[in-house]
Amino acid sequence: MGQSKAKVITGLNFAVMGAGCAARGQVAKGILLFAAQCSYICFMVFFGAGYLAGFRTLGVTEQTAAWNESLQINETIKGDNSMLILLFGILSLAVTALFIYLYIVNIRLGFKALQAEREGRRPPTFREDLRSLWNDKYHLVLLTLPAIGLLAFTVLPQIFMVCMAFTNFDKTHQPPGKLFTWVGFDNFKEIFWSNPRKSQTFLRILGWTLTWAVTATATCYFGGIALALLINKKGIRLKKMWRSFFVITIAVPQFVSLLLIRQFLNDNGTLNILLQNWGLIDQPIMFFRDYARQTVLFVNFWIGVPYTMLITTGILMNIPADLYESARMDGAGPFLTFRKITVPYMFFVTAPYLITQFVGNINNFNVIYLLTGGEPKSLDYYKAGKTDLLITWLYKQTVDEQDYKLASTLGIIIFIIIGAFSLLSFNLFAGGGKEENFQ
Amino acid sequence: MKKLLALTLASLLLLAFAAGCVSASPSAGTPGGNTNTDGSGSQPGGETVDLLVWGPQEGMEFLNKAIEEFKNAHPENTYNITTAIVNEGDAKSRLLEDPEAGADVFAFADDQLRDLVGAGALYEITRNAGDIKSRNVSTAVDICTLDGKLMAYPQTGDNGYFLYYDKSVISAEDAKTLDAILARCNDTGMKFIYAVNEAWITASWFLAQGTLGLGDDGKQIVDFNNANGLAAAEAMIAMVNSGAWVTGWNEVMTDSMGDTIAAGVSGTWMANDMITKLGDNYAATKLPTATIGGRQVQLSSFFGGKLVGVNSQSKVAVHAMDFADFLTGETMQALNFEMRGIGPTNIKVADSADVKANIALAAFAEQAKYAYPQRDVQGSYWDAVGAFGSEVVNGITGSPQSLLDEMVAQIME
Repeated sequence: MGQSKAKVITGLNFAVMGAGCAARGQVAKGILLFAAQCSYICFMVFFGAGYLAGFRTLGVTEQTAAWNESLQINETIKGDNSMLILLFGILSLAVTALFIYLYIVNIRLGFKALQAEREGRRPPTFREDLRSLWNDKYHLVLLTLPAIGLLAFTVLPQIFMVCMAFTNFDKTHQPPGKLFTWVGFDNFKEIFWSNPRKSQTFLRILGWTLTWAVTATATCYFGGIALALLINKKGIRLKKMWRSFFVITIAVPQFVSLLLIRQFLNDNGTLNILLQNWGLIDQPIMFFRDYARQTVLFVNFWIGVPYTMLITTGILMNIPADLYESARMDGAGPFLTFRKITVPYMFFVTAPYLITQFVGNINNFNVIYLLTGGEPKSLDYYKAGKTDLLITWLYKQTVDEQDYKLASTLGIIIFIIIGAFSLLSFNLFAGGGKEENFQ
Repeated sequence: MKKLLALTLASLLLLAFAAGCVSASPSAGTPGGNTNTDGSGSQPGGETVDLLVWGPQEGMEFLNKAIEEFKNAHPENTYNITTAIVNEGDAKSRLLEDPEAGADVFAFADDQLRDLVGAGALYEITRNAGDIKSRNVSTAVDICTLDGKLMAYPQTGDNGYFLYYDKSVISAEDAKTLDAILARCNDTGMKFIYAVNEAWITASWFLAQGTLGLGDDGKQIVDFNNANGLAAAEAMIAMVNSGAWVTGWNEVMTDSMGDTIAAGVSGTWMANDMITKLGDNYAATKLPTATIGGRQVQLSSFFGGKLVGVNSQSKVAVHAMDFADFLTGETMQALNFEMRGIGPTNIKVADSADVKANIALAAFAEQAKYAYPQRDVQGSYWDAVGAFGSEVVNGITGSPQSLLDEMVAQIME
């Protein structure tokens, strides 16, 4: 009997999940697997199947209205909602993937139980399984919950957003009235070549974003080091007081300082009026028109320097004094010791900080948006201004223009740029630089 | 024990995640009117109706009063009317986030009408439509109408701009022409505000000279780069270079009107500030005429206002329409003017002595004769025209014609 019965059970295990386990004494496990199968089927029948079926087109019936004589209104007849189809379609796909994984597990478990039976062992009972989860497989228990959370609340929404880049979702295709659908790589083509106005704007903004990120990071970094060195210098008195002064700028919320500075530097702002009253200038200086880029760089420098100063002060004090001493004995001047000892040491310790600063600056929404809002506008740009970064351009596309497809495409491009930069620089500096190589 | 602790922490983390997501989603659990469906929503009464109404922060007091009055006027039904603060400017984006959970009745700015209708988010207004059309001024009905269908209720007519001036510097006669205003400013060393870098304001020059239309594909059609448009641009440049003109807009007017600024172009929202700053010298009128291409041309503007719409996903559309009808009717518009000084669209209220005595609203009404409805303006218009205005303010170095060509190309893109 053994052979044929085993075959039947194995076959049954393919159709009814948990059959393999249940037949070999693992009843609780079998029931759980069967319950999973039932709930998946219910989910698909009552919810998922419809969305999955529409996933390829993202809906075909538009919303319409029909006259209702007795109520005297044009009653809404709901159509398909592309956004919901996309959202729940992705959810259904994820649930399906999870189910397929469970299904494979089920077959493997059935097979294991069969093997155990053949070898005359008793497959582990439910209680034993639970105990092993609490002991040698404890990592599974601990990390499953956070992993589920990450999947449900971070990864799935991300996939949803990424998918929008491959649709024509904008304000002329806005649910619930209109449908949107898949367009492949059309949005990427538009940004890169097929629409010269957009691609030119993209290139110009990308160029400025990179210039901004490099300059802003470098000025804050070296400015901070210089300031820290200055305060640390022997003979400077009231060190603590100077440091506290600069830390106060950190204590004020950044957006408050930015909005205040914006007022201060305005065409008719405090600074211009003061300078005019003192007779130093005739016409107001147009900080946010003629010198917008310089102004944002300068303000960012002013806001960013205290942070670097704080961080580097600690590191500077940590550089072994004997290094400097021996250098001095060998006749090195202050500039040489700075170049050969301070800078490499600092660079080694702060490389990760520098990289995060750089990446943060590429996406430095606050400074640009609160100071200039991307202005001055210019006809050289398509729906953007001269100080717009990719991220503020993206924001404007979403909030002002409801051009979700373009915004999503931009988001992906920004992600690729940042990802590439981070990987490259981490490999070059942080990962590659071993402590032995330093000195 | 440590393991148990770690597990608790992990679950807490997950809970926190979930909680964050739930509270981040807007207006969860809003009443959608589950006690009533349209099928049974006809006349007899005796029903319980749940309505969600959106209105702006400043108008909440008015809205709550209107709701009380509505309940008193309709004792036959039990109304559970909930309000939420959504400003008119945000109504479109908030509603389209999740139309099903959105308000049944909501106030929005007229420039959102086309997008809302395009998104299928509005009920066509069919109940009592004849009365609505006849009791409101025609410009206001016009901004609620799209493709011949009435899509919203006109509530306020006050969004536009006109001239505020200091009577002690500029006489009523001077205020009629731009040349006289600029000359008077130059004589007295005072300045003039006309924010031509704001696309909304720049329109006064191009619309005075050209036309703005909409193609069948929904793309904007303009002729601002022909000879007339060029003349308008040159007149704008001449004003900027007149010596009396300064940059800035509302903030500058609030700060310096009457001190260093003798006149400025802005809207009804500035009226109270202007009265405070100018006192007895406070005056307002329509926009002046400007010398464009050798002729005196009346400057144009946009006409707009706040509308009230009914959500197409509403489960109680009939009641929603009846409430919106009441909210925008004569009594409530009079109350809105009385409580908040909001300009009415109702003909009887607009003709009342109180409204006529309001200088800013009178100037607005005067300018409305030369104004365009903002309804037909597409998003592409704003950025391109604003950018051109900025170029004018920054000082154009090349030929204005090539900039105009680029501007028109971007608008019609």
